[in-house]
Amino acid sequence: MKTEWTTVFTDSGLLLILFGAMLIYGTLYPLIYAPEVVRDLPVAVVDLDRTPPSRQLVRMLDATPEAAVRYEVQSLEEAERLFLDRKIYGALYIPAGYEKNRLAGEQNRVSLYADGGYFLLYSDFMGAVGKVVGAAGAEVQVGALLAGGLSPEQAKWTARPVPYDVNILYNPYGGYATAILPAVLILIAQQLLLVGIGMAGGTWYERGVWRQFRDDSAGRLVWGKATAYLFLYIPVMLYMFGFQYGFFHYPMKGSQADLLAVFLPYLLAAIFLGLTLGALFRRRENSMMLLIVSSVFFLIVSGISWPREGMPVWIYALGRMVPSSSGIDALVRIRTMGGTLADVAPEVITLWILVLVYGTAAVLAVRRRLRCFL
Amino acid sequence: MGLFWNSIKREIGRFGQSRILLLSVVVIPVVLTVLYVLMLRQGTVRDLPVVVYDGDRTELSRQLVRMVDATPTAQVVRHVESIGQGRQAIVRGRADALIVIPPGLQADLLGGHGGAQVAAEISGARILNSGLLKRDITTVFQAFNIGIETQLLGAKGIPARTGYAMAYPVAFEKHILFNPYGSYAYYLLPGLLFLVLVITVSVATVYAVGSELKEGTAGEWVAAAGGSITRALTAKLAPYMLLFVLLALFMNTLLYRFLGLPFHGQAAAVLVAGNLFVILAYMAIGVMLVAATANMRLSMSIAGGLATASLSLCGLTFPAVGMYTAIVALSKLFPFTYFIDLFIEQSLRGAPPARSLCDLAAMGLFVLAAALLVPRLGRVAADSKYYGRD
Repeated sequence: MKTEWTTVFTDSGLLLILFGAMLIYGTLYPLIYAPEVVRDLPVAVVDLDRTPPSRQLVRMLDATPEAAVRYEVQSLEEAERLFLDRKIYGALYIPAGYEKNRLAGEQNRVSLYADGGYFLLYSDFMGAVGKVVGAAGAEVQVGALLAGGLSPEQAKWTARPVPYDVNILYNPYGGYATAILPAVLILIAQQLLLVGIGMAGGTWYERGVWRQFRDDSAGRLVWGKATAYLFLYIPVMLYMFGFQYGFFHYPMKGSQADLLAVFLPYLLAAIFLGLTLGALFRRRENSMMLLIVSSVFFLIVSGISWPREGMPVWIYALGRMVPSSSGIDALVRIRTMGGTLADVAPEVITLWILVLVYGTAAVLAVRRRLRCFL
Repeated sequence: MGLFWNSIKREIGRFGQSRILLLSVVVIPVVLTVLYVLMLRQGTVRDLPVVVYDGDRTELSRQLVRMVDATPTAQVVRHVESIGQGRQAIVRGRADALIVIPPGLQADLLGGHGGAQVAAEISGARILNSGLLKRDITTVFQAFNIGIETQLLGAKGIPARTGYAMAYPVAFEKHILFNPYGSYAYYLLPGLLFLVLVITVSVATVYAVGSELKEGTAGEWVAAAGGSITRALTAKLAPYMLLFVLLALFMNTLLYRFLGLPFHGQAAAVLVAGNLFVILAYMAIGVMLVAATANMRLSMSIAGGLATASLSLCGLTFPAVGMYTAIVALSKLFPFTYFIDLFIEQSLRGAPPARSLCDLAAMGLFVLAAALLVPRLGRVAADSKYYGRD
C-alpha cells in the first residue's frame, strides 16, 4: 500500500490523471451544460391572417419562457431560409382565415415547424406551442359555451371537464445538466481510476517494480493496492458529491451513509477492474490507448442518456459488467431522487458481485504477473 | 521516393510489432462502432414503463389508462395500490412515470360537475425519457378532455362534428424538419461514431510519433527518411491515414447503406472532404502536442481528453444556442465542432456545398498550425535529452 502511494505521489503523470483530470473534467463538463435549459429560443412566425386573434397568439408565444419570436415572415419559404441560416429553430404557421374560422365555430389548424436535430429544443418548443394553442383554444371554447347559454362556471368546466397536471420530478429546472452530469461525474471517477491504475501497472512492468514483490502473496498485494486507491478516492468522491454538486446546484438528496454504502462497492469494483487490467499491461501508455475511447460508450450503455428501452437487451445486460452502469443507477437514484439503500438493493448486489469477480481476476492477473519475474 | 518508401516500410514494421496498436486502432474502434450501431439502430424509444394509480376503477378511468398505454412512448406496466407505492416504483427504477387518477372521476362527470383532477408525475432523472413522456402524456390528457367534452356537448344535442370543433378549436400539426423519421439517433449515432474516430486518431497519432521519443529511436526514425523531419513525419503518418480512412469508410457505409441515413446534400465530395479533414485535424493536434511537450504520456492524456470533450462541445448533446458565450468560443478550438456542423449541413439539411467551405477551412487551419511546429518536432527528435521521458 505504501509503495502504491509512493508510486502515485511521485508520478506526475498519475497525479494528473487521478486528481488533475478529476478537477478539470469535473468542472469543464458541468460548465458546458450549466445553462441547463435553453430560454427564448429564436423562432419565426408566419401569420397569414394578421387579425387581432392571430396576433394575440403570436404575442402569447413570445411571452413563453421557451420561445422568443424574432422574425415575422410572409411565407414558409422565407421561414425555411431562416432555418437553413440557423437564425431560427422553430416556426409557427397561422393560415389565413384564422379569425373567420374562430368566429364561425370551425376548427382552426395551425402548424408547427421545428428543427429535428435538437431533441431538447424541439420538445421545449412543442411544449410552448401546445400551451399557447391550448390557452387560445380554451378562450374560444368558453366564449362559445357562454354564448350557448351556459353559466360561466359550467362553461369553464365543460371546456376542460378533467383538469390535469403533468409534473417533472427530481429535476427542478427540467435541465439537461441535472439529469446527465451526476452520471458523467460518477463515470469520470471510474474511468480515471481505470486509466490511472492501469498506467501504474504498466509502469511497474516497464520499470520492473513487480520484481520487488515476487515473494509476496498476490492476494495481499492486490488488497494493499486496492486499499491505497480506496483511501485516495473516497475523499475525491466526497468532494465531487459535496462541493461540485453544491456549486452547480444539482439535487443533493439521500443520506451520506447510503451514499458511502454505494461508493464502497463501486470504487472497489472499479479499482479491482483497474488492477486486473494494470497487471496485463506492459507499458505505461497502454491503459490510455485502450480505455479513453470507452468512456462515452460506458455512459450510453448505462442507459442514462439513451434509455435502455431503446437498445437491445443483450447489450444493456453486457453493460452491467461495467461498474459504472450499476453505480450510476444507484447513485443517481439516491442523490437525485432521494432513494434509500433498500431502493437500490439490486444495483448494490450487482456491484458486490463485480467486486468479487474483479477481485478474483485481479489476484489471478497479479499472480501471473509476479510469476513472470520469478 | 526510395527514402519515403523505406520510412513507410519501417513504420509498418513497427505497427506489426505492437499488439496494442492493433487493438486500439483496429479492433476496439470496429467493435465499438458495431455496438453503437446495434444499440441505436431502432432510433426511437418506445414503451417506457409507466405505473398507474387508478383510484376510480370505472370504465372511464380504464379508458384513460388504455389511452396512455396506446401511446408509442408509454407502456403501463403495473397498477399500484397507492400514490406512495407508485413513487417508490419510480425511485426503484421500475417506472419512469406515475399516472394518478383520483376516486370519483366518473361520478363527478356524471354528476355534472368537475373536480377530480388527474395527474402525471414523470421522473426527470433521464431527460430523454421525461421529454418523450411529458409530450405523449400531455397529449393523452388533452385528447381525453376533447373526447369527454364532445360527448357532453353531444348530450346537449350538438352533433359530434360541431362538438369536436368546439372542443378542439385550435389544432396544431407538427412538422419535424431535417429529421425524416423523427429519430434522434440520426444525430446521436453519427456523433458517437465519429467521436470514436477522432479519439482513435488522436491516441494513435500521439503514440506513433511519441513512441519514437520514449524509446529513443527518434534519431533513427528521421535518419531513415534521409534526415528530413517532414518526410519522416509524412511517411510515418501515411499508413495510419489509410487505416483511419478505412475506419471512416466503414462507419459511413454502416450509416448510409445499412441504417439508411439520408444524404440531402448536393455534393458528396464535401462530406468526403469533411471526413478527411477531421482526421487530418486531429492528427495535427496529436503532432502539435508531441512537438510542444516532447512527452508521449502527457500528450496522450491531453489529446485523449480533448478528443473526448469534443462531443460535449460540438452542440449535438447540448445545443450551442443555449451555451455560455465563453463555452461557444472554446468549442471553436475543437475541429469536431466544424465537422459536425458540416455533417449536419450537408447530410441532413441539404445546404449548398459552399456553406461548408468555412468548416473545411477551419479544420485546415489545424493542419497549418501543425506544419509550423514540425521544425520544432525535428529539433526534439534530434536531441537525445528528450528521449525516454514519460
